[in-house]
Amino acid sequence: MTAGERPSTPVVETLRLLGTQRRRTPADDPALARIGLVALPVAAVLALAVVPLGDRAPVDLDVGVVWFNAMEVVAWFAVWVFGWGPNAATTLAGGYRVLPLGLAYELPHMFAIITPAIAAGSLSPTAIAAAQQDLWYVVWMPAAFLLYLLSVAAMAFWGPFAAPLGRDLAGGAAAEHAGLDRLLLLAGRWMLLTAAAAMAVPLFLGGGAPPPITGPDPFPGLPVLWFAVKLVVVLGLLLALRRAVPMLRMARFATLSWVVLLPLAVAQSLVVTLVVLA
Amino acid sequence: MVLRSVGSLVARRPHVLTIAPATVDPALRLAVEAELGRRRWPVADSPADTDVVLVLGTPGPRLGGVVRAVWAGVPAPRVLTTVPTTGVVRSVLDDAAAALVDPHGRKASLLSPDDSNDALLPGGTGPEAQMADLAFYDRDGLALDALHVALGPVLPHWPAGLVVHATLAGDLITDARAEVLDVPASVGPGSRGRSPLGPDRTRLDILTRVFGLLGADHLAVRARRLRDQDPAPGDLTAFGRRLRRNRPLRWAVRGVPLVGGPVEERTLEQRVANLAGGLGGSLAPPVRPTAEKAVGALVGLELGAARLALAAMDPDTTLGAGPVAAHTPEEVTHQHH
Repeated sequence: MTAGERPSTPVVETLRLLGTQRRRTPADDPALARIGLVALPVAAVLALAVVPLGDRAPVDLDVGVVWFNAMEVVAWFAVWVFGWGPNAATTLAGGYRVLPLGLAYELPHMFAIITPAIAAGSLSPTAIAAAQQDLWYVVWMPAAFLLYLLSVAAMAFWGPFAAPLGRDLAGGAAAEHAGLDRLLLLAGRWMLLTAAAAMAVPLFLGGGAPPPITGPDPFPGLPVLWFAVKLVVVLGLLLALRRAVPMLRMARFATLSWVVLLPLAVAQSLVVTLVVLA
Repeated sequence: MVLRSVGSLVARRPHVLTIAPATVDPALRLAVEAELGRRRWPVADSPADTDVVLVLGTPGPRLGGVVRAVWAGVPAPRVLTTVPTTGVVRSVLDDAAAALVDPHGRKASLLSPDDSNDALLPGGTGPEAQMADLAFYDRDGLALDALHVALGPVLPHWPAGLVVHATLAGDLITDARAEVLDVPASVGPGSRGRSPLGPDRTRLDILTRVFGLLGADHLAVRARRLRDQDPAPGDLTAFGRRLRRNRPLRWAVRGVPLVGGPVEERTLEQRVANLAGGLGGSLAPPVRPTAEKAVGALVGLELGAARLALAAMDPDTTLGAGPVAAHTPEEVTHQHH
């Protein structure tokens, strides 16, 4: 899918895919492909379920951060499997690209999401958001926030990390999927990106609370509104990332990740741990 | 009635797959790309993502077979049409959009009104696996399956008419031979450095493809607009300077060698830097190698790197290459691992 130029573009594209025939390739495995295609939006919804949208999460899980992390691994499985299903070299190569992608981003990502958990002393996103009443975590752990943004773009194989669906592979893992199948795939990817952006709000931006500097809340009792504003800001940052950085080959991203991002993530969590212990 | 209005909404933004023979008039290809850009119709990545198949010029018999195979893999609603000359580009695209809305009111310029509703369509066009055996050269010592695939001629930002008969070990190209459909290798001297577009438009044409492959859509659009308009030299040098200062871009194209000397540059990074640096200057046009030399330089590269390298070298497929006998499996038994 190319970049939408008009606000109406997502609607037009959705209608287009709804009206398009599905298709199959010779000697394919349609059941396997469809398991993957359905798993992607399901993983995104299950990841979003533990995110406090405002002051409370739909499912308030004590280990919400771990659950969120588990759902992104379901997304790896989904891409790999819907790339495998059509029995074509492009989709297979695209699907396999989630493995180097995951190996590169997962460790910095885990350090990035565990750093706020260390500071709050809890794995519950609601508790982490509540612990930021005086100071948002983005202020005193900016490296973790930036690493989180980078890694969730990779988690949704989007922007600079779109290699699994790369144009160099004629669409990669998506190359042979049409109609409703393609809609599930692309919508699932957007849902995953939105879920990941939503999780940034309780982890780093104080959840549904107003900014600490504004004094009294101008919209008391409306944490959902603050949550929505912050979500839009995070999504805007992700869009800017896509514009600034072209698609990275997996070898380049692995180099970046292991030489720069991972040491940075370890250093950031070390600093936070020392501050919490002190 | 509702369906009709939904159809007309979608027909305002159809995804277009363009198929061009190697011998296509460059002016025609550029006119079509410019018109698609002006209408903001997206370029389809693969037949599965296609609404309109545009065949430029006059395809030969081999490419004609490819067009039929592609068409079989395009999901309905779909339109197949030809653009014979530059003068009819607009009317052909208008007719194609109209035919997407109303499949029964077809115009004469549309081919094959065959809309069979087969659930099981013949396979994609792109690379299609024929059979796996064990790789004889293996980077990692993992005894990976070797896939014999034909890459092209219908891939995004791919040289017109080119088919690369490649052997893949995983995503690594271990062997590659070039064939240009319907244009056998010529015996005469090549046209190294000569291009009908002139130096700057050739550079911008190559950069458009490289940026398109990299997903840097705003840079690709800028390069294409400069190519299709008549820019002042100042705009060209400014764009070149902006590209050379773009650190994420430089970083993304680093680490790809161009082995075997198909072009003067030794790396992809250097090639892109020279293409950007030459914009608006008085340097000689960039070297466009023969398909054989360019494809020879892909051996040892990972697929994504090979695609970038091929787009940056931009082989002149009018010089021809091949023919190459397709890989025939020794025994037709399916091996599943």
